[in-house]
Amino acid sequence: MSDDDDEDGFDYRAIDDVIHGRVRLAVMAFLSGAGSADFSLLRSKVGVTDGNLSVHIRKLEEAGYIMVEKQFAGRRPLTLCHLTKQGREAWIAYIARMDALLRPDAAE
Amino acid sequence: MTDDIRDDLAYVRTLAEEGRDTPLVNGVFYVIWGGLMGTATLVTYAQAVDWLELGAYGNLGPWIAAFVIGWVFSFLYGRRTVAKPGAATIGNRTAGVVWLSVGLFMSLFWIALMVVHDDFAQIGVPRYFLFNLMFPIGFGLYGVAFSATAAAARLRWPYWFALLSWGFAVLSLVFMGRLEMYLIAASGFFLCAMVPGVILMRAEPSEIV
Repeated sequence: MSDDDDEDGFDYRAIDDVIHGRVRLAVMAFLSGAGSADFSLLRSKVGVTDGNLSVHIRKLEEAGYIMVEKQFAGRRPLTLCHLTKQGREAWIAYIARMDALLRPDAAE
Repeated sequence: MTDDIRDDLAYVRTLAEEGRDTPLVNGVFYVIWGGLMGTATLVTYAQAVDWLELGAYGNLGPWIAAFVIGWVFSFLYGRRTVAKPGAATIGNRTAGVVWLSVGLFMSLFWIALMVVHDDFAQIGVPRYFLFNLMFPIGFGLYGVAFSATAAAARLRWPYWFALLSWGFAVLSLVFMGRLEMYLIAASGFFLCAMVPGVILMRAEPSEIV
């Protein structure tokens, strides 16, 4: 066991940094349920500005966790964000690691 | 630190549940198509019992009008629906595709009936029979679409409308050849399409985001 592991064998480095930010966590959580969502809905649910959300979406897109699709609804531009297979796997792994961290015996 | 993480996870769970339970945004289509089909059926009945006289094309007219109005509305309003909050979620996309497929199939089926109608009449199939087949098949497909919608949107109540639709499918088959069938079918369209449409429209988010 390395120095970075705690007594229960939990390695904090195993936590996915791409997901482990409040805004990106919120985006991934919402998409884990919805599968896909338009930008305006995500912004309203996450409660951040357009620019802030764009930055975090780009980071998730670069990691391959979400796919961004640009469309037009009539004349209005529409940005859709889809959770990718890779993103869902990363999300499941993240939840599993957080669950391990919060087990009663680990939390004490 | 653990309390912070627990707070974050509670927040995450709330968001995941909100994403999973995003309301369906297609209710208006149920109302429009249910209203159009139900009205066309009632007009057909009114002509059959001589309450209404629409001339040589009276049998076709109401249905052509219903399908044309329905598809023009669906095309124009559909573009607005795509931009509604939550329209891109799996539940909404699945429901949209399933109901669009039902509408396309029923339109094609109706056109095909018009084309082959006379051929079947020549070999002794009653003229009303082919046309009236549209009702049990249509209600059967409604039931399938409601079941798919319920599963995709994680809702329970559409399953009841699936059962109701299948009930109307059986009833319209039992009453095939009798004028009462048109009243049963019209009731089916109003109950199985307009009522769930209103339920969905009332559940849609009102805020513009």
